Amino acid sequence: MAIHEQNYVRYEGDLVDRGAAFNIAWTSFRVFLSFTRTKLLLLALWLLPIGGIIAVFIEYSVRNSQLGAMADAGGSAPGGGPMAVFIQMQIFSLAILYASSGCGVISDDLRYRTFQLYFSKPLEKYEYALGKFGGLFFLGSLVTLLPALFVGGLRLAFYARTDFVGDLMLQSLSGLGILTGGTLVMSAMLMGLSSLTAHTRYVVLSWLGVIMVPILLSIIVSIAAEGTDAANLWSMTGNLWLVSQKLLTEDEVTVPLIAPLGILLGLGGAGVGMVARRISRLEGVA
Amino acid sequence: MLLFDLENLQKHYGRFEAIKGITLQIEEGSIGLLGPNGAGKSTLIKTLLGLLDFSRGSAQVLGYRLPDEKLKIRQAIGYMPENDCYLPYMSAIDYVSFGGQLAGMPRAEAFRRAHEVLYYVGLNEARYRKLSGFSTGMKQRVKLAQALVHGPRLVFLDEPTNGLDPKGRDEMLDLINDVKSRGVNIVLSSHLLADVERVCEKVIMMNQGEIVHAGEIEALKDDGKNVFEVSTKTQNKELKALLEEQGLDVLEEGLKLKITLPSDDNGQLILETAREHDIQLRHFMHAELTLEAAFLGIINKHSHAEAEI
Repeated sequence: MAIHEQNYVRYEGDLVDRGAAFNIAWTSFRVFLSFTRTKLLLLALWLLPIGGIIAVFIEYSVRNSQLGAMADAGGSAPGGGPMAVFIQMQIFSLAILYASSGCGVISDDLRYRTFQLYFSKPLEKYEYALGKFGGLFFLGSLVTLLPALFVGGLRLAFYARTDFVGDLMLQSLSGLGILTGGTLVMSAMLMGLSSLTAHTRYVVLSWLGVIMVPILLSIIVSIAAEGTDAANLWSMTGNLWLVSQKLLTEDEVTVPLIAPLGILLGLGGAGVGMVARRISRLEGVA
Repeated sequence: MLLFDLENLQKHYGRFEAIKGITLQIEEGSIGLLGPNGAGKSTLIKTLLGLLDFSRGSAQVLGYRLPDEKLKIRQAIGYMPENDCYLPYMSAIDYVSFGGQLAGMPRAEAFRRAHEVLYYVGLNEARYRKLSGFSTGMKQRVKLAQALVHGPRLVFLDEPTNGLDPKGRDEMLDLINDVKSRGVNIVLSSHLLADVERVCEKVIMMNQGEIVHAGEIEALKDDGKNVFEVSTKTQNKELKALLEEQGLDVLEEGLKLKITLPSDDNGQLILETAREHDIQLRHFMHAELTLEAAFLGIINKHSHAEAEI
């Protein structure tokens, strides 16, 4: 007899109408983490933040004896340069992690027709999009926000007893904000690319193209224009670099802050637009 | 409680009418949805799930009005799609539990129920395995499990025995019958009429976007029709043409003809026609009208009527 002896009993408990987006985000995140390549890559990518954390220890041990004197003598707080470099490193880590594990965020649903599962359940299209975005963002946060919290927190802890703590708090929060913004923009872009095709390998190629080609362009423009800051506007990482330079360092940057911010918002918006277009066409997916 | 209450339901794709003004009230129970390819079955299912907006008319499923209460409808139903719809790198337990969560179950409860339902469909041992390693039969079972996990009042099953070997098919139909016996309403869309006959009490037949029959299967098979099964040596086509000239319904089923006679005729008309035209009969017996024969008869009649219009 095929039917198991255990009887089927109907579930009579409560069914709630909320939380679908979070459920999708959490499940997507767990699926991303279940890949062996994700685990290995995270291990490798966490070497950079660990290096950053070690650098904070070294900085502390070198400056520890001078901290009191520096503060008493009215010295200036440590600059935000290291944080700007740290942000660049983590953004590159994010690009690599997404290339390895995040590109199938929507294309896999298209390929395996999982939409039928989603939309036969009480789920609005925006909840699906929000959930998928959340899953990707959680994944990205593992190499952006989480390390930034560690490194920023450690720096704050070490300077806690000095007058620099206020400046460093601002630096850490700015760094966290830039990384949050960068992760949001890159997640939106990847979602957009992933919604264009059911072939994840094409998404990987286009993602690498979107990251690498503008960097090459930016280098070419930079060489041609003798190292002008505006050359950074050509690439996404360059734009994030400009934002971090503006907000974290006292270096003079000739480009107004609104330019890289506008470009980053535009890129994120384009990603959101692509996803919205795809999802609006999902009529009758069953 | 009515499962479906449809009033002049229409769905157009541009100028093409996929559903042509369906009016239907169906009581609770198990219902087979039959029709040739392109009849509008899938469009009807999608419309009833609230996945497609209809062009005109009104529709209620389980008392909930479409399209305003489509989420309530999806919460109250389970849907087992015809084709695969899972990420192959998910385990069965994660997949089913995720389905429960999407339906609105609390996470812990969904996880507990996923174990129960997988046990029920016979996948207890395989529940932690990745879906990519599942056989066709196991995939069908896991799809059924995700449709049942949140305790739906109605389950849409789209070709649930597709790709199954005879034993797997038998087991799947047993399972569906067991689900049905526990008070869950079933809508079974299948090309295999024998499956529908085994599971359902009622049937909705569709052709060219219209409902050509809706009612009890038994009534359809036994509506006073007087059917004879006949075969000739080599002249089936000739006899068919002659009988159709006399206004009789004749269906070709393999090497046999199924002829529907007036209720008071004991086959004399067939015998006389054969004798007059010197057609040698090899097989002649009173036959029970099968669902398949009834289905083909209704579809043929409807197609001819459409062609005449």
